Parts: sequence; structure tokens; C-alpha cells
Amino acid sequence: MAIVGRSGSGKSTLLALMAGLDKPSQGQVNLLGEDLGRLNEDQRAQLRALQVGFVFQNFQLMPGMNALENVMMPLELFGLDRARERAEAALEKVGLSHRLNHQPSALSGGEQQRVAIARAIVTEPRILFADEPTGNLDETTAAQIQQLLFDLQHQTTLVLVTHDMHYAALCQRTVRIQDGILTESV
Amino acid sequence: MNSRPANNTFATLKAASLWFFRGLKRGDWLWLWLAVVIASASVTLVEQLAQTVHKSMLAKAAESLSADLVLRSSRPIEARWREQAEQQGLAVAQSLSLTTMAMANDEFQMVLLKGLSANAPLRGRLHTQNNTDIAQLSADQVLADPQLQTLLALDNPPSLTLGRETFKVADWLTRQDVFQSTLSQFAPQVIMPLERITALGLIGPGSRVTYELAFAGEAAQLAAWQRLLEQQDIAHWQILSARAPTPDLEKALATAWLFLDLSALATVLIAGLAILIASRFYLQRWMASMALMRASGASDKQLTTLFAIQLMWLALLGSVLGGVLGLGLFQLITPWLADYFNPLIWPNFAQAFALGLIAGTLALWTFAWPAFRQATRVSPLQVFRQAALARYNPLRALLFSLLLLIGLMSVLLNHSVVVWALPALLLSAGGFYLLALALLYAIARLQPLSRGWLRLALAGLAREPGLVKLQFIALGLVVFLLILMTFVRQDLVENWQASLPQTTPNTFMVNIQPDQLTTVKQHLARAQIETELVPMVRGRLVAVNQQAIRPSEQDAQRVRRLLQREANNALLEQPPSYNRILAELAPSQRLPLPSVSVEAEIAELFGLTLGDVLTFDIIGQRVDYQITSLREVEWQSFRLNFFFILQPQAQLNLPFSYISNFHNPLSREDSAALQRDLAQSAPGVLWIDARDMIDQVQRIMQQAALAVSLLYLFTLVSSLIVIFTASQASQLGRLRSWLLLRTLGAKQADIVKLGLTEFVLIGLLAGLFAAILAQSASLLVSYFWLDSAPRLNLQLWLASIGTSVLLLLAIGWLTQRTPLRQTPKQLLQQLQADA
Repeated sequence: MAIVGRSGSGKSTLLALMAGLDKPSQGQVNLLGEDLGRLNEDQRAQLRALQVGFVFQNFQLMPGMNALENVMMPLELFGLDRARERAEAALEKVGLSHRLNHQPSALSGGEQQRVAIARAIVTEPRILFADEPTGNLDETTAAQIQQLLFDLQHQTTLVLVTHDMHYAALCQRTVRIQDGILTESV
Repeated sequence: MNSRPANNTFATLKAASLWFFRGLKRGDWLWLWLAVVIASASVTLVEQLAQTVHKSMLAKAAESLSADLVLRSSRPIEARWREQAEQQGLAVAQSLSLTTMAMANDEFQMVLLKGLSANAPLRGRLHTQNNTDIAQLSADQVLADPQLQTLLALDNPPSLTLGRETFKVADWLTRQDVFQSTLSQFAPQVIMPLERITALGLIGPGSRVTYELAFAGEAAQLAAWQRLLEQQDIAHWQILSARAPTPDLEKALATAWLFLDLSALATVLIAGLAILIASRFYLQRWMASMALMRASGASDKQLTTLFAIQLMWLALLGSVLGGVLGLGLFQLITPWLADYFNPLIWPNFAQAFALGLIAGTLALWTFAWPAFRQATRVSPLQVFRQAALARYNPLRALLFSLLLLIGLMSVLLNHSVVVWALPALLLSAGGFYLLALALLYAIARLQPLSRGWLRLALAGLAREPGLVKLQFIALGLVVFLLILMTFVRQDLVENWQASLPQTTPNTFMVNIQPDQLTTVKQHLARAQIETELVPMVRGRLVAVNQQAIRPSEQDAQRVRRLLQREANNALLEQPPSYNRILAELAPSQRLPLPSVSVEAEIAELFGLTLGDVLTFDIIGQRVDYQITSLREVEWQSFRLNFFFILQPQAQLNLPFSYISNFHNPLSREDSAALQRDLAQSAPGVLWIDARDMIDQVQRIMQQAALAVSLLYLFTLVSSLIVIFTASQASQLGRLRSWLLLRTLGAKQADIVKLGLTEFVLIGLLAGLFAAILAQSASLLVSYFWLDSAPRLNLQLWLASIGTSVLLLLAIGWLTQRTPLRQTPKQLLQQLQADA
């Protein structure tokens, strides 16, 4: 599903609400069958654990961790076994098996976003939220990242925030947000 | 999804440990880690050093005292005390001593005759030429001071008469005790078994005999036993403990320990500041990481545990390394210590190590936890945009940990230091905070009026006001402490050198009769020894303002003791120039009585004031004197000093003799020859060679100066680290503005000028305010602590401002060199990676 709209229309806010990172002042949000309004911060976090993945516009790689460690982070955080093996496989999927030990500062923007995608999919989440994942990338790299996201999301629901209509068109469903009103565009 | 989160606690522990060690390998924790290492190393070193020196001195004092504890009495001590002590598991030895005349070849000499039980001494050994023990002496043998060979012109084999009997000298004593010696104990000693001395018939009803019971044992048993003896409150008892060696030395060394304590305190606080600043530096990074982990599903508890475990690892590794480093440094200085302290007692290193460990850990928790806690409160929304931080007031946590730290420091250090030094430092920090606010206000006002790079530099400072405040406080405090310690250390060492210069008097001559004065002067002049001979008379204070004072009615044991014995009183018109007059009686209040000048401490002890009339018993004659001045005396100077200086009264015909002390420049052989000549031409004059004692005190002083310098060096290193971390804390903001300026086309030279101006401005102002504080503190310290005249020190101002500016310039240049060479693209990449 794609969420489209102009800058400042509230796309990222909607994404944050859907992922339970923020609480709505009114209305109800259900994620994976749970009413987020009835859960506190920790319970919402517990719901996201291993079931929700994120890809951000500004990559949000952990400073000081190399590519492999960044991907291993969620696995290690929740004590999953074979963390290294799984992380290496995820990085291979995004075409970075040769950059495992590189620090984020030594990677290009496209490579940093690939690491972020590998980290998002390594736990095989049920839902993947992507906030303008190509917003900081040049055209060619953006096309590669788009392709990668769609190739990897067969078993996962992808919720994509973008202002690129061409990119949104690739999604099965697109919603538009304008002046705080959500409309089904397709 | 094919997995569920594993057992949370175990998973968190494992993840935290993994991440910590990875980060450590990469150097992520370097600044925090270094600060912990320094805090822990300095506490370990100070504790180990203090314990070693203290225990070694205690052992030395115990050797000199021949026991751990001595009960001295002017009357026989009842046998039940010996029995009771033995029942409590203490070793007990008995002795008695009296001053008597020894005779040989028609020559007489006053000697200190000591009778020892067979097991004496309980600590140390008798130092004799052929290692003869007291138990090895037969009934007609004694051990004697070799001075008697000359003084009594002894034959070979040597023998001397004491009382009714003649004794052979079985062996010569080679060393006199250096502690607990009073002038009368410097009379040549003769030692024999206790049971023999009682049979000599020397002890009669009027004899001045000192009876002693000596005890040795475990510290706790001894302490209990000492308490029990003190509770008896018997007037003629005196209790001597090895724990308090000579009061003079104790006073001099107390200053050294105070400095050591202050160094340790300053080092821990400086390391704490480094931690506080470094944790601010890491805060942005921690918040980014925590926001991401929150978004990924980590709970508050999990995040707190995760970082608490990393903090614990950091504390543990830093403190252990610090402890090992502290003990290692101690090992390095041990050879010097062994030179000065014999025996050198090594305390158990576990206590120092444990204290270092606790200090490092507490310092880290105290100063880093507030930033950690703030980071754990980050909203997961931070991953999308800069969200407002949850309000968190770190004051309570900071106060709680600070109290813990203070508690620890007060266990470790002298309580009084913590009581006044910490509030002083907190007040200084408060002062720096106010100054930082004023500075920020001035910047806001000045910025619109300035232009060019100065305007940009001021904007740079105003960019992060919180950080500027922190940097200013930290830099100011560190420069302040550093400058203060530099000058106090210098003053301290100079004072010690001045108090015991190379020409410190090391020889005393007593019992010079008026008719021997010319002869003695001639002998000394021939040996090119310059000295002044001071007339003195022995007398006892018996009444104040015509009210009799009796020893038994006095509360303080020291007062009772002083009243019981005759003291040496100088007969001089004016106190010597090296005594400082504290107060003088106005001429209008003077009575038609001779005057007496009283030493200030003794005046306080007896409650004496100017104008009081004192009555002295001088060999049966009662003489009244009016107090006309109070004096301060430096007892540790080894010059001739007296509690009472009486105005000479020719008409009274008092039985006076002369006393003298001087620095003896002669070799041991020439000195012995002079002594022999004097013994022949001025018999009865007692020559006391205190060279060994002075030498030992000088060595201890040098040792204390060394310890002080070592700790000072440590503080210096930790200060540099704080200044470095303080400058690094604002690096990110600086890089951002440089990137912008570079992108807009600013030249490298402009950016260099801009960056360095920021550093110089902070350095200059912090240095200036530190100088103001250091000067004020130095004046107070000089006046109250070192007893030296306070003076304004231009050097201090120059050093403070110069050091501060130059240090920051050097650090600025070192840390800015690499980013300045980078292209805007590289800068951007670095910023993105660090963000």
C-alpha cells in the first residue's frame, strides 16, 4: 500500500500512528489485530517487536556499528539464534555481501539504505513501514532501491510513504492524504 | 514471522555485552573509559600510598617505642595490669628507668639507666654492636652508650660503677630511638636486666623513676586495652601509642596527607567532570540508537537494562584497569619508599583495589547516569523527526549518586577535607555557572554589534548554550584546581625545605654551667661552630593569679603531665626572633613584676591570658611573673624553643645553666674529638647528637613531597583529558556550521580563524575566572593552612590565563586539523554517520 501526498500533508504522521510510534488524539488504530489505543508505550513496543520493520528516508543506521552489526541488531536485541548467519543472508539479498564490515560513513547513500532494508527484513516482519525510502537518493539508486523493496516484500505487507506517483503506482493500493483527509486514489 | 523474542533478560544481557565489547574494540567508549580508569587509579594509588606510609611509620614508631602501646607511670604499676593484659592475649614487657650518676676512673656522668625484662623489646630489637640481647647479659654486665667511653675515659675492658656495684660493659648500643625522645632521654643510656636494677639500691623515696609496661598485639585488642587504660583516668599514668609518633612530625606530615587527600578528591571530581561532558557527547548518539530500538520494539525496561549493563561493563573494566594501574604505579615508586621507610610495611592491596573499584564505578554512575536516563526517555518518533524530549530532571539521581560518592570519599579521606572542599568546589561550580550565564548574555548583546569571523564565532558559542555552560564550568573548575594545586604544592614543598633547611640545628648541648661558658665557647669557636648559648632554669608552674593549680585537679591529661614535671624555661629579655609574637600586653597594664612570654598553645591549654600572674617553683623558690606576650612556636624547626621565657632577675640568684643547639658541620671523627675535648675541659656538659633523627625526618619530608608531586601529576593528566573531552563535546555542531560555510564558499583560513576564536574565547574567560578563584583560594590556604604570609601572585594569573588559552588552542588545533582538511562532501558523510 502506498500513502501519497504533498510535503507537510501528514504522511509520516499517519505512518507513525499506524506503527504505534505515536498515539492518535482521536479515532482508533488497529495493528496486527490489536487496538493500539488500549496499549501503553511498552505494550505497543512489544507488539512491534520482530513483527514490524522500518525503512527511513535518512536510513537511521546505528552509529558506530558496521553494516553486519546494524543488521544483527534486532536479532540480538531479542535474543534470536543464528543472528550472524541470518544477517549475512539478508545483506546478500540486498547485494552487500562484500561490504559487511564497512562503517556507515564508508558507504554510499544507496548502500546505507540497502543496509537499512536488510535490517528491516532480517526478522521477516509481518508488516514493513517505509518512509520515503528513496527521498535522499539519486534517480538511478532510487530505482534500484524501489526494485529491491518490491522484490523482497512477497511475504510481507509493505506500507510505503512516497510523493513519487510512479513508485506508488506499483503498489496494489494507494491512499492520498490532503489537508488531513484520506482518500482512496485507486 | 518465524521467531518470537527469547527470554528478555538473558537476551538483553547477551546483546548488551556483545555491543559493549564491539564498541570498546572500536574505541567508542574511549573518553568515558579513560575517565573511569583515572578516577579508580588515583583512588587506589592514594589509598595504597597512604596506608603504606602510615603503617610503615607505625611500625617505625612501634620499634622506637619498643612496643605498640606503653603505659608509663611515675609510680610502680600494680601487677594486676600486667596479668590482665596477658589474659587478653597481649604480649607484655616491663621496664623502669631513672637518671643517675655513673662513675669510672673518678669521673662522673649523668646517665639514663634502664632496666628491661628479658622479653623486651616487644617490637624491633636492641641495636648493639655484637647483637647482644638483654637475655644474654650475666648479673655483672650492662649495655652502654659508646659516648661513655670518652665521657668517663673507660678502660679496656670497660667497666663502670652504678650505685654500689661495678658492671662490665658487655656490648655497645649503636642506635638511639628517634621518636618519643625528650631532651632528658638523650642522656647516654645504660641498660641492664630489670631484676638487677632493683637490687642496686638506687631507688629511694625521692627518686625520679619511670615505670613502664609495654604491650604488643593485634590492633583491635590493643585499641580495647588502650580504652580500658584511659578509662582509669589515673593522674600519674601516661599512655603512649605507636599510632601517634612525635607530635611535631605528625603535624608536618598532616599537611602532606591533606594535600594527598585533596589531590585524590580533585582527581575523582575532575574524572567525574570528564564523564559528565563525555556522556553529553554520547547523548545524541545514544538517543538515535534508543529511538531506533524503541521503534523496533524494545521496552523501557529493556533499554534501561541494556545500557545499564553496558555501563556496568564499562565501570568494571575501567575500574579494574584503573586499580591495576594504581597498584602498578605504586610498585614503581616502591624502591623510593623503601629508601625512606625501614621497615617498609606493605598493607593488603585488596582494600585499596576495592576502594578504587568502588570510586571508579560510583564516579561513572554519578556523572553518566543522568545522560543515560535522558536518552532512555527518547520517543520512538525521533526516528522520523526531532521530537521534543520527555522532560527529565536529573537532579535527584545526580544528588543521590553524588551523596554516595561523597560517602565513599569521606571513608577514604579525612572527613574535614570532604566537609570543606566539596562545598567549596560546588560553590565554585555555581559561580562558574552564573558567569557562564553572564557570558551568554554578553554574547547575545555583542553578536549584532560584531562583524566578520568574530560574529560567526560568537554565533558558534551561542549555538548550544547548554554545552557552553557545561564547558565553561568544567574548564574553569579544572584550570582553577590545576593552578591552585600547582601553587599550593610549590608553597608546601618550599615551606618544608624552609622549615628544615640544610643548616637545621642537629646537635644540642645541655647542662653547661655558667663557669664553663667561656671554655665551651672557645672550643666551639675553634671548630668554627657558631651558636648562641641560652640560659635556662628548671621550674614548675604552681599557681595562676595566686590560685594554686594542682595536677590532680586538671581535666586534660597533657595539662596534668606538664604540671607534674619541671620544664626548661629560658631566661631571656626578649623572645628569639624566630618566634612570632601574637599578642603583647600594653605597657599601661604592666605590674611591677618580671615578665614571662608564653607559647600560645600552652596558654590556650591552661586558659592563660595576657596580664595573668604565673608563679613558678624554681628549686624551692617561688617566683611571680606577669604574662606580657604570647608567642607562636614552630616546634618542628628543631630550634631552641620554650613554653615559658622568663625575664632574667639578677637578684634572684636562680640556679641556671646554658643550653645550645647548632648545625654540626664536622665529620663523625672530628665531632667525637671535639666531644672528648669538651668532656675533659667542661665535665658534665651533655652533647646530644640528633643528626640521625633530623636526617630521618628530612627523608620523610622528602618522601611526602614526592608523594605530593606524584599525585599532582596524576591530577594534571586527568585535567587534560577533561579539557579534551570538553572541546570534543561541541564538535558536531561545529562541523555542521563549517559544512554550511564551506558550501557557501568560505575559505579554509576563515574557518580556521573561526574555530580557533571559539576555543580562545572560552579558554581566555575560563582562565581569567579560574585565576580569580585560584588567587582567592591560595590566599586563604596560605593564611589558614600553611601559616605563611598570603601574597598576590602575578605568576598565578599569567599561568592560569596562559595555560587555559594555550591548552585550548593546542587541543583546538589537534582536533580540528583533520575535519578542516575534508571536502564538504566528506564532512557531510561524517555528519550523517555521526548523527
